[in-house]
Amino acid sequence: MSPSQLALSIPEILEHILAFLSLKDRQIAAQFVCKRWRSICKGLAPVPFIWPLCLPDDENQTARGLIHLAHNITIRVFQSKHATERLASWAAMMGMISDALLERRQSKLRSLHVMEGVIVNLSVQLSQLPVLPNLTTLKIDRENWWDVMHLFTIFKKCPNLEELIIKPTWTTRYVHDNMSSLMDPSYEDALVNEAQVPMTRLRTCILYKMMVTIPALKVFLETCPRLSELILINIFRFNRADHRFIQLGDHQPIIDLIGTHCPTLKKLHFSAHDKALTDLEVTSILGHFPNFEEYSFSIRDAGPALLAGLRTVIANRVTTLNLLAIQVHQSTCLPTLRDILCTFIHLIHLRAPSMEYYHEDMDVNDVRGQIHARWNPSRFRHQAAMTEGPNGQYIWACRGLRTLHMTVGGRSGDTNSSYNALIMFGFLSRQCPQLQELHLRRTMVDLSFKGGLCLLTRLQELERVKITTGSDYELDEQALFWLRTTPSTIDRIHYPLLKLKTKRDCHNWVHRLPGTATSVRACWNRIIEDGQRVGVDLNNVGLREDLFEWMGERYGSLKLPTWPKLQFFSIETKERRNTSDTALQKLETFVANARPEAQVHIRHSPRDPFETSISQYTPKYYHLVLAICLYAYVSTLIDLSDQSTHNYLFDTFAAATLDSTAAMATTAAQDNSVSTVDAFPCYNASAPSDSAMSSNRGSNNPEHEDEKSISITLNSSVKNTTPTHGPTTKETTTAATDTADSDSFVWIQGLPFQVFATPLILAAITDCYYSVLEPYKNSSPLVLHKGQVVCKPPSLGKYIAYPLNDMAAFIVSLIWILLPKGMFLRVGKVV
Amino acid sequence: MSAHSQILLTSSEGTEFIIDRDIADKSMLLKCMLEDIGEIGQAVPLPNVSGPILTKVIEYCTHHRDDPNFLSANDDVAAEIDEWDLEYCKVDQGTLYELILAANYLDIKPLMDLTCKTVANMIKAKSPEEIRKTFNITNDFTPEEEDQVRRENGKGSRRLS
Repeated sequence: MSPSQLALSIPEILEHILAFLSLKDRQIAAQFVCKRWRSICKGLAPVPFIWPLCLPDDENQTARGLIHLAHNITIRVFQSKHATERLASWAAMMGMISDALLERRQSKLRSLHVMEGVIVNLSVQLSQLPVLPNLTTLKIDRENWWDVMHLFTIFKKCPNLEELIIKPTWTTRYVHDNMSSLMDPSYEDALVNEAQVPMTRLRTCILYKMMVTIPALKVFLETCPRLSELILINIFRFNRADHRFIQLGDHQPIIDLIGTHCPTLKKLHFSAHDKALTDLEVTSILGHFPNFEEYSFSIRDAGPALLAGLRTVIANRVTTLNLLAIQVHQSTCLPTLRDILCTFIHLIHLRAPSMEYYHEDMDVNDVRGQIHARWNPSRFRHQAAMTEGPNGQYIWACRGLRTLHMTVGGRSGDTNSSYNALIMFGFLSRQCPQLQELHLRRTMVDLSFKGGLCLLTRLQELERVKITTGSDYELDEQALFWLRTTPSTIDRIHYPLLKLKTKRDCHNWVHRLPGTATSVRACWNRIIEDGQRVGVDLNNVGLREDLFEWMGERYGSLKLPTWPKLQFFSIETKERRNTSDTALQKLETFVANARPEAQVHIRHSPRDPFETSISQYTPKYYHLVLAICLYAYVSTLIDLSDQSTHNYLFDTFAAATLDSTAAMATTAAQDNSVSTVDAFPCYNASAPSDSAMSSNRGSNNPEHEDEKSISITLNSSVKNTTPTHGPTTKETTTAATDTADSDSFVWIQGLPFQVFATPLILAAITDCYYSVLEPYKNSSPLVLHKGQVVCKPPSLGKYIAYPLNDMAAFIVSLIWILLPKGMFLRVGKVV
Repeated sequence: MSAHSQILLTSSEGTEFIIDRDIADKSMLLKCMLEDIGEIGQAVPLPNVSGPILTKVIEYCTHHRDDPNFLSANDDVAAEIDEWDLEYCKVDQGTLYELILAANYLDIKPLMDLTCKTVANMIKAKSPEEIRKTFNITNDFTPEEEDQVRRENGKGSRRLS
């Protein structure tokens, strides 16, 4: 036997060789070679395994049997699981994994993904992680703050990690985490003196909301000498000794530390939580890493200093720029996307999904101005005077742009009109001929033929297209008929008709009205001429003639194929008004048939996570949950030691709950008293009597307090005052059904009043409570300001602002506006 | 026991090699053996490794003698092979496989990774037929079985998407 045959006949060696191939190579080639190769490739294929945290015990046994097979495990949690139970389940699960490891002595586990909600206490749960020598990827979805010291626990458990990602997914944003993720100061002293085993394989670290101290960060960077990608999002520097945060504005030491300790770095993102980077800090990042081809910043930090720095020092090298929207920011002095695109000649990839490019900057034929003039002839003069002449550069410098992610909007309002869409698509189709990947976000966009999405087919290199929009107006098969690579016979038959129609449109649509002042007009003309000089033909942008021209390109002599290289096509709409899920599915099938080689996604975008987490529980619970949340929140604002305030509040809430239930029941069945009970099967409240349910509630006030205790008792027949939990049934994601009656009840602790609830309600409450209230509970006073809660935590000694998501902001605003005025709260259906 | 003590190895043909202890320690087989039985001063017979191959292996271990990351440096799938290693692997196919066998037998993980990666690079971007030709493998799939594999594949990839 020759050495080659001998070597390949030993399964371990063959496996070792094939393991170096990519999954794709194994799938398309290696496994077809012969049966032996096939069986080894099969063994190497990643076996994914999703492990719900609250499996019943017998299923956990099955799971245990599967552990040694799994290459990647995803641990997720269903929402009806209380934090303490999660902790227990986690401990049990980790115990099982480590048992399985002991039995088999080796695991194939390479990737572990811990989804949002599983981690309740980072300190406790990380230390329970077994040692996983083969683990190369660890992902933890997490929104909350955490201490840099936890990294070292992870390093001990996973010595061969290559990729570490701790960040929220931003799609499931409910937080159950407690805040005690600060470590003991003594650990840090020990750490600094203790020699760490180097993590030589760690290449990628994506860390969100990490709280760092300089000594610990230094040890971390020394431990990971080969980092090539370091993404630090919303980093926060603090001083552990007295648990106080160091003065604002001093991130320079961190930047310098990274600059001196990471020679192999190829990609760095650095954004601070508490403030935008100063010009000096931005400059020093660029100074430390002048050789990157790719830079990533938070939009907030992308000020004039960054652009100037990039322009003067390294404009010739930067090919990739990522500008991420991480913090809420209101600054207006930032450079616009236009400045960037018109400045950087060598830019190839620009990902700024939340940065706006304005319509006004694309509208070279001043279509918008003319339309305004047309529809408001009386204000025409005024409009014309208002229209500013173009200013600065309009023709993009980066003609080789291949990736573009951006938002398109208007400086003044944004309407769903086809002319806006026509301007946008027409403009883009001319500016960047090399584009391969396009992600457009726009609150409203007309995707019908009139909107001109088809104009983008001029971008012949395009491989991936994604459009995210709020509207689903006229999204149907007729809108996308042109998606086939070459026109079908039916298209050709329809073509003359379409041509005629468009010609008529062009004719009817009298553009080039004298809507624009002559001087402005001349400026725009100059821009168009400038463009033509470098080969950008903007002559018809925004005009119906552009569509006409496109038809000539496609059906005429040019025979322009539609995106011959298309791999991915996606439309995501938020609105559900004009399209049902089935309609979109049908459209997706249509497109998939037209483009069999491409991956097609046409979907409604996921709802607001907070909204879904509540609305999952049927509407009847929804009101209760809202009311309880309101109550809990208010109780953190107002001193509860005053019994009368307390009772007054309680009344208000109990009343609000019942009232809204009653209102709902009325619409449902026109029968007040009976339906109220039905709508709340377990609500047998000690609260208001029937009379209190009448709509005239303004006078409902503390007088009732003598007859009520301070507790909402749900289903008074069950008097279980100990925090036990009902039997855990296997949950599904579509949790809420009518099983509530049969569920046992739990006493909720942690709320400032007693309440019995079914696990379902409990889950809803804990979700709301933790995501909305917990982070702010211990901080007082709270001030509401523009959708943010501003508070002054005792530990910090200064004001910080937390952005709230829409739903939470809504709840808080309600409280803020209504309660101090002594007004009655009416909680209606908001969604 | 000094780190500079020397070990005597005998290849399959009986050729003797004297190497430093720290070089021998790169091989897990020799390391464990020397730790278990101690240095007895006799030659360690390596009946599965021929002289020329043993020379090559010793060359590799000597080059990486002072590499602190010896045990973890080379098995990063994505990492590029460094220049010296690349040059080292420019041998005929027979020698390459003998090196794999020797690395496997002597349990030198970095050398095993390096050589296997070199073979993997020869497989990359080849069609199944080309792979069979390169490695002289006969196709033992019937057309139906091949179809079956293809179908399973399709199902899997759809599920992934």
